[in-house]
Amino acid sequence: MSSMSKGLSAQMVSGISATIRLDPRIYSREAILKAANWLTDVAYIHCPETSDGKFVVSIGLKDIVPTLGNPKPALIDDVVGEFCNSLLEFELRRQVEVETSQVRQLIIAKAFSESGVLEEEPSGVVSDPVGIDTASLVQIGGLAAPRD
Amino acid sequence: MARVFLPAAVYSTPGTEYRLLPFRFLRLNEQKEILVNDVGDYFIGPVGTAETLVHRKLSRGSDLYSILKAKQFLIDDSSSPLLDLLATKYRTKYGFIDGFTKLHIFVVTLRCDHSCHYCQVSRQTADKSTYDMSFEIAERSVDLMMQTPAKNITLELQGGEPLLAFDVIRHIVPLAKRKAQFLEKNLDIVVTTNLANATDEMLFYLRDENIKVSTSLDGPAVIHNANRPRPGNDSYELTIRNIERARRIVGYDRVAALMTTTQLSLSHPIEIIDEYVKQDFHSIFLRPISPYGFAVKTKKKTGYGIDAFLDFYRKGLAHILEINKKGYDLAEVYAKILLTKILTPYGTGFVDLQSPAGAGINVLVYNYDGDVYATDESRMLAEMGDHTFRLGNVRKDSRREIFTGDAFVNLVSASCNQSLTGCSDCAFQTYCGSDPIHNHATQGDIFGHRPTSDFCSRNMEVIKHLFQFIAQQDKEILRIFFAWIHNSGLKDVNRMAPS
Amino acid sequence: MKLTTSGLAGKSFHSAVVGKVSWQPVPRKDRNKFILLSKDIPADREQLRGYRGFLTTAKPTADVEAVPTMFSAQELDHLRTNDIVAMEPANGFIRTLYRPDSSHNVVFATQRCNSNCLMCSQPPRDRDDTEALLQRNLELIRLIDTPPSRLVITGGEPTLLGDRLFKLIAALRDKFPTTYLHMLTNGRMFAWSSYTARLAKVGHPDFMLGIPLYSDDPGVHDYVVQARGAFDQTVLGFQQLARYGVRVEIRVVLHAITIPRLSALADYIYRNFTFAEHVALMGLENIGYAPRNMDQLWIDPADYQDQLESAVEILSTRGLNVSIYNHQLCVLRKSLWKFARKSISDWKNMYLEECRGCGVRDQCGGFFQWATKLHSAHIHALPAHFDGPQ
Repeated sequence: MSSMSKGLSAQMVSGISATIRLDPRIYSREAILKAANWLTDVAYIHCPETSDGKFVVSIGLKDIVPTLGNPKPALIDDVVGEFCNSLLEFELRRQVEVETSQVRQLIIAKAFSESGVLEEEPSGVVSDPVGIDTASLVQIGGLAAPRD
Repeated sequence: MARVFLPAAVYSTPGTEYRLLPFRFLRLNEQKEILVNDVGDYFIGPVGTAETLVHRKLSRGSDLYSILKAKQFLIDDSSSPLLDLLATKYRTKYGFIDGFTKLHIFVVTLRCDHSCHYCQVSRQTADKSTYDMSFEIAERSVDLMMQTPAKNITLELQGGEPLLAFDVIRHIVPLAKRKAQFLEKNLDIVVTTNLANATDEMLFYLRDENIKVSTSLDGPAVIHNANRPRPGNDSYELTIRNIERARRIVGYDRVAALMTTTQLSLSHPIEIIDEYVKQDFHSIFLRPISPYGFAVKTKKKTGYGIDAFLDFYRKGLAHILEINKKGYDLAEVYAKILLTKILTPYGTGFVDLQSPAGAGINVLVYNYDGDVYATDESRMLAEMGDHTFRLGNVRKDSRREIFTGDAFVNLVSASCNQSLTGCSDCAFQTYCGSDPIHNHATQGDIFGHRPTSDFCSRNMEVIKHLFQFIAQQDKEILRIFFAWIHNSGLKDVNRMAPS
Repeated sequence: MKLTTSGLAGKSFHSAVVGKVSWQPVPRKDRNKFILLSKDIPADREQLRGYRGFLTTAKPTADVEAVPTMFSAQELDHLRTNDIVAMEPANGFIRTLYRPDSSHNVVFATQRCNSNCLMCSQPPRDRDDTEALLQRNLELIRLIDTPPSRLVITGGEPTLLGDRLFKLIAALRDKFPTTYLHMLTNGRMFAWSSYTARLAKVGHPDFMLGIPLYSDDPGVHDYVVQARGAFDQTVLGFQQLARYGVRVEIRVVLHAITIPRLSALADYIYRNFTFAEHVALMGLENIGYAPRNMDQLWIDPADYQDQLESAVEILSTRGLNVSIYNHQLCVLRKSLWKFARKSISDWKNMYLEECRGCGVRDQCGGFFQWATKLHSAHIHALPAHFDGPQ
């Protein structure tokens, strides 16, 4: 039994194991590893190997027979399905991380610096609809010159 | 120049691209997902919300856009100055780190007259001089405690059974108070005791020294006695009599009760909670079973242990909410800690559920023999032969040596869930915590393995469960939650403001 | 209750005069603080010597005035001895600046403003009056004998005084250290940390700012206040004020533009300004600019009770102090009555025909004078001990 979606093809090898081929142009190694990590409680995962330009992920279920500790062991179909959904989510997370890691550093640096928060002068002027000369206020109030 | 009024369109910025601010997301169920940013602001929306946001499918004038911008999930040209706002909120969220170690646990003796199943440290007839904290060690420990930068500190007297070493307590208390006064620190003192050996004289002392009492009440007699055997099998009756006595002498509001959860407890949430109501307590902590209480050999995420606890917790919480609705104030502490992190701008300094982990950073344990540990759990590990988290000894090591030693430094490397696998992507990161010592004890390394971590599955499930309530936006339940958060009675919520 | 009247300045009266008024003659040694009031001109001009000024309803005479004089005052009956008044010869205005027996005295700082709110109740004028008004207010402070329990600095926008604002607050701090001082401001200037730092440095012992915020959406807020960048500046201003320990209250005027996002704003206030001492939700006043913009602003208060209740629930449950101002009890949900304050000054309020026989009139703040022209369509008398659902 196999299933196909964009850049991904899953092949059930037996009732308890499956192989998934992933197109590295769509799925990053990072997302694959992270998605795989969450399955390691129910399955043995072989680290992705590159063969004919695709990642190959092998999944083998750990528990097949119901036990008291695990009365309803996972089914290979569910595990593969879960893996694929998870993969998409981790790709999204990777994109967020790429886009936000710098601003995150900035925020944390500001948050924990001795004086870094709220030290910058705001941009813009204390403008007003009819152009009151705020420069006069600068002299009087000792404000930084408005930028504009 | 005459003033003119300009239309709304002038004041909304043109359609420039928006940028993302850091956030994480998680699917809650078939229909809903939750997005949470670095300061704990959350948004619950239909599955696909995160994708819409990230793939720039969000339309500028939409309500969703306004909400996500106000909650600081995205930023556009008109909100660039507000990064400072976000940084301030971040600082507020992590304010609990301020002051460093605030909770100082003194194990004044290992001796105890009970032999509770879940306790690792009972030595009933052991020699006093061997297992009590010496005066010299007590003095050095107080010295070390007072070197903490924190202005508000709590001294918790523990054991074994601390009242068995009352002379040690009488030595520590005035010394600690004198030093605190000199250093202008605020000192709170609490003693965790089973009260079995509490004479009136001891209770008067506690009252006079303003020391609070924390005692064990595991539930009604059947459960309490089964958990805490003693000759005569009357631990419950004794405890109730002593609670009454302590309330009378030390002060009604100065006696609190904590339960320890065992396998037996898990089947009786209602009875345990009803017992707390019967004894007029207004706070109960539905704690998970300590890993020392039952062998965690299984690494199953959805193993028997977790499911049973979650079932216990859900039933217990439902019952507690009903009790509150009927007019009896009863706060559930586990929920309160999480709700504070979810619903308010603040974090909490509950050492077992914070990131960075409280171990060492917010709590320190001073053992009877002078050894200093990061948490009580790590001390218990030492009793079982594992000294990984012994940070030093008050006789040999200075504060500097303790906090720059290998044990502490290694511990800290696994203390922040922001950098742990699994946690780094988790939507609940800001609400949850990390517990390297628990990981070490149950999984064999301080970093832990999230898919098989009971700490992870338990917290995720409880947080999800709380979000089910939050998402309903039921006014009465939210009022109850906030009464817990603010330590107030339900009738005081929404009171009229003083004019 | 009048606060302004007018008259004709005497020929030799050129510069404005501020003084305490008196209906009775004042001993010579105290006269230089006082403006004598009379319906007639005394025959002997010597009787006026030493006073700071003279104010009369009588018509002007040809004689040279002994002291600065305002004739033909439209009315004077609203004045009581020891009220403090300004006589302005340039325009003939006679303004009451202070009434010792009122608890609602205002220190008017300037008529200039750097915003232009659609519903502004005190439309700004673009004349630099800051120095003149500072001097007037300093004199006002000198003249007040008994410390009032509270004073409000208002305008226009007081922060446009720049440095002069700190002089004003310092004077109030020094003379009336036990007087609670409230200041209404748009808060924008406080985005500049140096300005905020200087305000904090004045160290007034009982001081709070009342700052409006109209939406969690910057575009909506900026539109209401008619100034680009105002939201950012106000929000940053709040942060700086918290940083320097200055107490703040947040005000929201309820109208058609602010109502739709009111709950979101409540949540935004809680998450970002948890330190706010008070949140005031205020009914719209049909004066100033509001009548001109009423087609965008008007919403019958009875029609926004859902949003109001939700916002109040959000704020009060989270421990913030909330008050509802300028709403009548018959249009407020019963659950909100405990948040409603009798906020309309005693000399400003009135009741309508529909209020006749209302059983809760004593608890209700009534209306502003202009309400005869515009008010909710749902005003109705309630029986005493009204307990029904709303």
